Amino acid sequence: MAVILTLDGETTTVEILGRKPQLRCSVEDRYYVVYETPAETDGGGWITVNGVRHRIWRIQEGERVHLKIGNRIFSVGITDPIDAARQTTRSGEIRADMPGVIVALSCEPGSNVRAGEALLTLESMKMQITLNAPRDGIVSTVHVAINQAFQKGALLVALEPEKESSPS
Amino acid sequence: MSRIRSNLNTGSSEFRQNYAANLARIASFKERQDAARHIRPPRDIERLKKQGKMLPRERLERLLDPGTPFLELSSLAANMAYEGEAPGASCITGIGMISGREVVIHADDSSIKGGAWYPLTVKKIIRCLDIAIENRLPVVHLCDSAGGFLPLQSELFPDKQMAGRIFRNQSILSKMNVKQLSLVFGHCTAGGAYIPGLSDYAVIVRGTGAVFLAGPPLVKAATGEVVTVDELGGCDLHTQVSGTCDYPADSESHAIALGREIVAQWAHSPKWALQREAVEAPYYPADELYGIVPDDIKRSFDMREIIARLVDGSRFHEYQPAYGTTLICGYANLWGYKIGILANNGVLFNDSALKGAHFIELCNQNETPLVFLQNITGYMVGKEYEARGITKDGAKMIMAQSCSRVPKFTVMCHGSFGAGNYGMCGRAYDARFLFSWPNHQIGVMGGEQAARTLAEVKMRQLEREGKGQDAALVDSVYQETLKAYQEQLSAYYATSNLWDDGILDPVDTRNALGVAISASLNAPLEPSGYGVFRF
Repeated sequence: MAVILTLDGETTTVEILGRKPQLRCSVEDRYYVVYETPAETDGGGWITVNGVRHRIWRIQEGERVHLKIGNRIFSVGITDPIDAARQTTRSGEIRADMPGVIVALSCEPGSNVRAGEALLTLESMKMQITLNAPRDGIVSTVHVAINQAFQKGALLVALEPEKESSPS
Repeated sequence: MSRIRSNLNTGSSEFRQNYAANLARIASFKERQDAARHIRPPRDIERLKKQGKMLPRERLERLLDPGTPFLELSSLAANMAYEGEAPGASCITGIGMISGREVVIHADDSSIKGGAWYPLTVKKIIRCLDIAIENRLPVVHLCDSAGGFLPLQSELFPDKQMAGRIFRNQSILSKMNVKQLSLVFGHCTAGGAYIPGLSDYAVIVRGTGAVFLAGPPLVKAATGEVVTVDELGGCDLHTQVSGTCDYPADSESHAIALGREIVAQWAHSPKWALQREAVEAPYYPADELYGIVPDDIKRSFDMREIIARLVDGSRFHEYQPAYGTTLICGYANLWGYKIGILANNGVLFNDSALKGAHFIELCNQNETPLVFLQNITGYMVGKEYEARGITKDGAKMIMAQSCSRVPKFTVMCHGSFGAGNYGMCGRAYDARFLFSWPNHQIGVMGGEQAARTLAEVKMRQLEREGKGQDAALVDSVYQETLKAYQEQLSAYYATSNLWDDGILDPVDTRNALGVAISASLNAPLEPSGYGVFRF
């Protein structure tokens, strides 16, 4: 398996070759054996990479890991290759996967929503399904009302377009 | 394999509401289970003590290897039948360890009506012997039964899946070179006599154990012969004269010690080599399952959150993550064992059905057992989907699933309605084990749909009879149908009728599947083969 790491805007694929008894991985043509000792009382620990020991502190924040190794600080983004393949929509258009009826609306034009927050609940095939915001954003339009029936593919809610942001 | 990233908000009001509702549901389940296992009329317990007998669960405790898991099956069988007269269907079945070997246990429960077999007792015994056949597991029978419950004989004797099937299954097991041991603690009368008779080894307790085709009263009625129980079929007769049993025992403890030693002589049969990794606990706590499963059968939830709380390290390799997304497919490890998971995340569409069929074929070729996590209201209906061939795509999934050679396991996590039950390895599809959660509901359609349909029929009938519209009557038909239907949809009704192998507290699912997968590896894999897929 592989993990995709982003550091200072550059992407690197790390191939994981084994996790036990210690982590073995390769980056391009280089091979690493990594061994980590349990955390010490100050929250830091030790990491041994190909026999060289470093003092390390780390904080995980969602898909980002902040590391202090010696006196240098790194902020690394981690992408699961399968998540990357999922191609979740960034467009902000929430469309119906199947015909159904709206049973609850949890947003209105102008609502400020966070990724994963509920936008509406629909009923189809005896099942109630809540659709969540695919990303953070502001609701620009709501195209349906409670008890309104819709066809497959219908636009239900739209978020304002994402602002251009520089790669982190 | 990466860890599933949970999107669960454990601080949300929805989580807390679900959690509270499920805790209450689990408490009620545990209470029912405890009653079925332990609550007996004092006079029945006194009678057993007076005879020098242990309670069935005391016997099991001594027989099984200390500290090893016992996976009890169908603990609430018959809980909604016979007005509650036969808790657990008057017998205990399960998978346990004796002298280091995995075995199927069948124990008569003589603390209920002398261990008489009700129709559902017979069904439960047949099911445990089917499990022994499918998984090539040796069987230990703990015999102590008054025989068939005569008032219901027509429901337990004549048909294909009735009492005769017990002895047929015993014969087939022997032909397959799968060992059986009977410990005769009490009476084995009539058909029951064939249980030790068809076992490879039989131990009988002096004084209380007896085996005969007809007991003294029936013998007297038939031939006029007057004879005592011991003379007719006691320990010494069968171990010294008839040779029907092999080992005499002076007490129940003695019989159990002999039983453990007999099992210790049996050759360990090799298991097939399923890919296995070092075991890792799930990253996310199991009790969060209570906060995920909704209190409303119609509410959907993300099955990835369930998978994340069942599998090793919460790691999951998702197959076709962007295609047919209402059916989640992928690989994981559970107690180290490699498994392929199929889990419902909505209605089955053409693409999800095709993805499921394809993934099942991959797992069969890769020798990976399949775990089905059901929450399904069916395959998508409507003109567009019929035109795209939803029926033939669903048929492909059913074909691939039915003809699978790898072991299959099904967990009813929430709803199981309509044909979705078929594609997702419902009871008819020979899952090696099928477990349900207490919130589970099952039926050809949901309760509201059924009640609405019947209320409409009633309304039309009234109109035909010229009685006009009687809204109150129609409403009462709706409410009554709904109530009756809800009862039949419930997990308790399903498990009462042996439509599953038992209800599980969701947090026990990982352990139950671990025991089940381990047990399944005793049966070698058959060669691959399918019927004709309709393309």
